[in-house]
Amino acid sequence: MAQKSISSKDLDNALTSDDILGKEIIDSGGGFIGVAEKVFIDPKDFDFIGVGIDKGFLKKGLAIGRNYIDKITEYAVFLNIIVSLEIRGMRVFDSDGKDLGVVSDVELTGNTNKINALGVKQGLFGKKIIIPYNYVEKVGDGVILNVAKKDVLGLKNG
Amino acid sequence: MGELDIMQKSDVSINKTVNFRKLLGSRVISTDGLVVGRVKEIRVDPKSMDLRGIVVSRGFFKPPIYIGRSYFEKVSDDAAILGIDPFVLLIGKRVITLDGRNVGKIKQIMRSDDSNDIESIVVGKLFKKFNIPADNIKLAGKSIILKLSYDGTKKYIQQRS
Repeated sequence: MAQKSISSKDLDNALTSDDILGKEIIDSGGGFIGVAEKVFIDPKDFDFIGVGIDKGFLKKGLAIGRNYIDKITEYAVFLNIIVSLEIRGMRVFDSDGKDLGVVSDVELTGNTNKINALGVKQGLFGKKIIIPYNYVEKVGDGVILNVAKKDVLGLKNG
Repeated sequence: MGELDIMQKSDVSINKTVNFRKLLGSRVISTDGLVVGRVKEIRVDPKSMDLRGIVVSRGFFKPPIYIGRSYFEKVSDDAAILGIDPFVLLIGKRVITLDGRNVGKIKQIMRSDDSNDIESIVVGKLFKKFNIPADNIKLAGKSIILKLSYDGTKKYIQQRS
């Protein structure tokens, strides 16, 4: 559709808010995070600074800054990170494969995606263990630590 | 419990071995930290008595799988840890194209012989089924991302398997 425009820039190739809103957000591991529901624009220079994500009914939304966005395609928005907050609820194993519990809290450094520490809870009434992120070997569909369970428990007391 | 009498030549110390009885029924964990199933049987070479592989039970509806020893990274008293992600974990995952369009879910995986090397994946959407060769897979994580855009996958979608 031909549309008249008053602009110094070529608006034909620009993305519109319609292109972003309602699209699926997919992280770098291929995980589905949610659906874009907001576009954030800087109030001063009107630049695009991020998207707001609707994660579904009863779940808190999430806002993601523009530098974490990899590309916006016809069908989805790809991120260049794995969102650290998605670790919550994953099972944690020590280096021997012993079950330590489930991630209940994720402590981030500032407002970035870097993890500082994980809070792990064992059972419904179990005590919470704080595990610094340098003990984490791998995060995938679960969390694998590089230390044995008894070392982690000793760490909390010390 | 009384002290354990030990009779051995200069073999590996008993402290460095794994108790098979405890290992039976313990978890089998993929490299990504997902529980594949539980140890059902432990297969041992009759001559050298080395461990040859583990039969993993995966719940009531899924058939058990036998995983050879070369795919295991280590075993302990509490778990057997794999060095790979077994192909069975891919079944049921979403397949999306490079531009983010959903093409379906993995129904079946074609492997070369009995190994874990994937040759192609069978993707199903509604009543259609189609084959996508494994070299078109860009990334296999929470879902499978293909190297192709949606137009590129059309030729696979049209030739049904």
